[in-house]
Amino acid sequence: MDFEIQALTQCFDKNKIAVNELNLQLKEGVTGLLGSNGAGKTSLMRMLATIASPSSGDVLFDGKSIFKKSNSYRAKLGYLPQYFGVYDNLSGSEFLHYLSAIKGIDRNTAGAEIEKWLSRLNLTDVANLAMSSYSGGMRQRIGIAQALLNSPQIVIFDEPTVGLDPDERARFRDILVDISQNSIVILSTHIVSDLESIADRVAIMQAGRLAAFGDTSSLLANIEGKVWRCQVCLSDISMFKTKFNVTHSIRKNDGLQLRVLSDTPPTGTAELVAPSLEDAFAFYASTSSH
Amino acid sequence: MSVLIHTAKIDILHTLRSRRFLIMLLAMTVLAMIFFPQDEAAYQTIRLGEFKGVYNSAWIGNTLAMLNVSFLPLILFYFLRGSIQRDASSRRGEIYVATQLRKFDYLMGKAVSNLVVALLIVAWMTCTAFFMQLWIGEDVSINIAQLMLPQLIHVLPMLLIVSMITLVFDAVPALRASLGNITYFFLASAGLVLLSYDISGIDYVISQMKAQILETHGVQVESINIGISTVSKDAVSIPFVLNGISYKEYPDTSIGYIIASSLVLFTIAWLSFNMNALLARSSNEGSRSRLAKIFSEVTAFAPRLNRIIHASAAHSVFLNVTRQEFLLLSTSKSPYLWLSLCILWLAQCFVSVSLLLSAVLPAVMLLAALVISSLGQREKAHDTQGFLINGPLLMKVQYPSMLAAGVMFLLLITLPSMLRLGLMYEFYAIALLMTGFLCTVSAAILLGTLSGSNKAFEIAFVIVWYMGPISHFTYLDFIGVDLLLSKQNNIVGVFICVAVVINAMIMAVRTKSLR
Repeated sequence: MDFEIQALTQCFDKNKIAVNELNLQLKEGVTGLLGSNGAGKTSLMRMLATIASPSSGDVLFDGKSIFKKSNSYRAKLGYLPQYFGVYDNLSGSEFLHYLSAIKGIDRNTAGAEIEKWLSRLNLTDVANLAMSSYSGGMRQRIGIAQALLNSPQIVIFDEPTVGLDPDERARFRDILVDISQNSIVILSTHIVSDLESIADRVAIMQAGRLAAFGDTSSLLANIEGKVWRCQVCLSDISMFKTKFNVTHSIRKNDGLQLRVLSDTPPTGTAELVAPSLEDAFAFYASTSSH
Repeated sequence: MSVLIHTAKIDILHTLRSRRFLIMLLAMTVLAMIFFPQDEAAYQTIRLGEFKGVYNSAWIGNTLAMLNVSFLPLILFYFLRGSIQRDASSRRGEIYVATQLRKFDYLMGKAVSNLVVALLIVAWMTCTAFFMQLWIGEDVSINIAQLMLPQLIHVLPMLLIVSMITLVFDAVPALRASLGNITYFFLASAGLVLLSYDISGIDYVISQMKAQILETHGVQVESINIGISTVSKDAVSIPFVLNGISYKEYPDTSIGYIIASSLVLFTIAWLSFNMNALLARSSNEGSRSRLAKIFSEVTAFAPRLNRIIHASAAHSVFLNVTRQEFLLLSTSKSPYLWLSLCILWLAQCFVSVSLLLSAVLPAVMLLAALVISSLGQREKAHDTQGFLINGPLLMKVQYPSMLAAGVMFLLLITLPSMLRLGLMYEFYAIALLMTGFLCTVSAAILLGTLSGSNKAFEIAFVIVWYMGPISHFTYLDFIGVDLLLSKQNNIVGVFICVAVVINAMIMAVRTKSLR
């Protein structure tokens, strides 16, 4: 499977460019998409799901433009939008049966697929209840189930872990690992820890552009020797943040324990630590914006 | 075919399990019960000269078909309307658009769903009529064919057409919003009922009834009227037994017209619909129409004006909230609506007073209703009630501010009329308009709060507008088209009482319904 994004651009107005000349080549596995608010992640996801058109550029799936033969591409696509709705008066099972029908899955296969995903997403017990009684997390899991019904080759998840509790997030990560064996999974999230354990590659977006792309280990290798842990007083924190790129902070009894990106030790007592994906995200986002 | 069936099925199930369907069935039950009054009732619903039909299956079945053909085009349209918009606003469309779902299957599924829901409502009314026949007991021998056949022959074709018209109004972008609600009302009142008589073949039933009266009683009945009319206690009516309708001479050409019309309507819907309409935010988000850009440039002074008002209102919570409510009221409407209001505002300065009162002001109010219909339901529509409900200002300030903003808006768009009436010392007319504004805005808030949508107020307003300023029914004439009659009947006093009652109702329901 070849999935190639070529100079993809989306402009809303002369001065508003959501995605700017983005190039990416993806293969099987999980590609995590990181970016701060307004970086262009959702605009990119919507174009990849063919529900928005690019201003220029193209996306090729197995050498064919996804925008020209969108129906054959959509048959291989599983998409979970950032915000979506359900029929409140229907049960989760009824809703999934409908979606399997519009995805062209035959009745017998649909029944088995629905049962499988309801079970894997821990929804079997509530499958026949009206969705008006579902919690936010349950609705989100119904959204995840519908995206996976047609055994898609391309899976696009826009903020899939919103509203999921830690157990459900762990369950979801297991599912991702399974499906990514045979499909290209693109997952956008703000929760960096979700990607750390499962993403084969990470793309970092900043102001519509690609700030960095690569496998997790290579992104981390680039900031090796630049991440420090140190402790500062609460009163010094503002001054400290103006001088250094602070990626994480934990409240301690006698002040704050910080993770800082810096070529040199930020304090005399600072110790060098192994970088995390969160550090890498902060590093590439700040490098790109400068 | 499977996708089409599934689309229809899911929509039907969703409607049948909704509370509004239950309310609809209750309303239809009441309508059917009112339509078949008992012998001692002080009103009648079908006038056949001096004759009164005996409640047997043939009479009940055929008159029920007349009732359905007369009233259902209007009722069903507003009930069925909006399923496409609901898919978009609930963001279900985000999922559909990324699948292979074809426009044809989606639209045909919606049309089938409309038809099936309409059929179920008619079936329910037929069951109610069946029980009415047994309850009234004039003739308890039940003939199912006589009850059902008129519904199948006369009502079903009309339901098909109404289902397709509803689809067109949902699919065509210009008709999708509030404008469609008003346009359909005019279409329906201007001739759709007559047309539905024609296409449904009810005229044939009427002619058969007349022929049977002539044959059995030797009397030529001129016309048959449907509608509530009072009956004096002394009036004597002659019982007439309808022996069913013979369809031997029934023209079979109408079915061809109905199928052709349905196909044409479906084609219009199909041609004008784009699946991207199901997206809550369109793919060209951020880009605006040329007219919208021009409009924003022309109104560039507004933010400066707003800052001045803000500065002067800074010390009063009420004024500040009123300013915010006014801003909310004046945003997110079509630039075409604002352009039309600007033109009508200018027209108020130049036309004659009689034209002003009889045409221009009613037109202004009709368009203004589309703006103020957002009052009361905005919090539910935008899911912001959570921010308001725990605020101490909800009833104290927010609601009176909303009322004030609505009345201010109406005053602003009718300012030239007000000034002209003032210069002519027509102070009663000004008072009438002001109390009319108060009632209108209060009704918008009440219906918006109760229904959670702008549709209820828009429909109610158009009915009142049509009966009042247009048809000159004095007690609903909030513009004062016939000032003398309004003065004689003290309509200002009536409107003040109505406004007090509506506002008391708002206070009773608003906090509760926002929760």
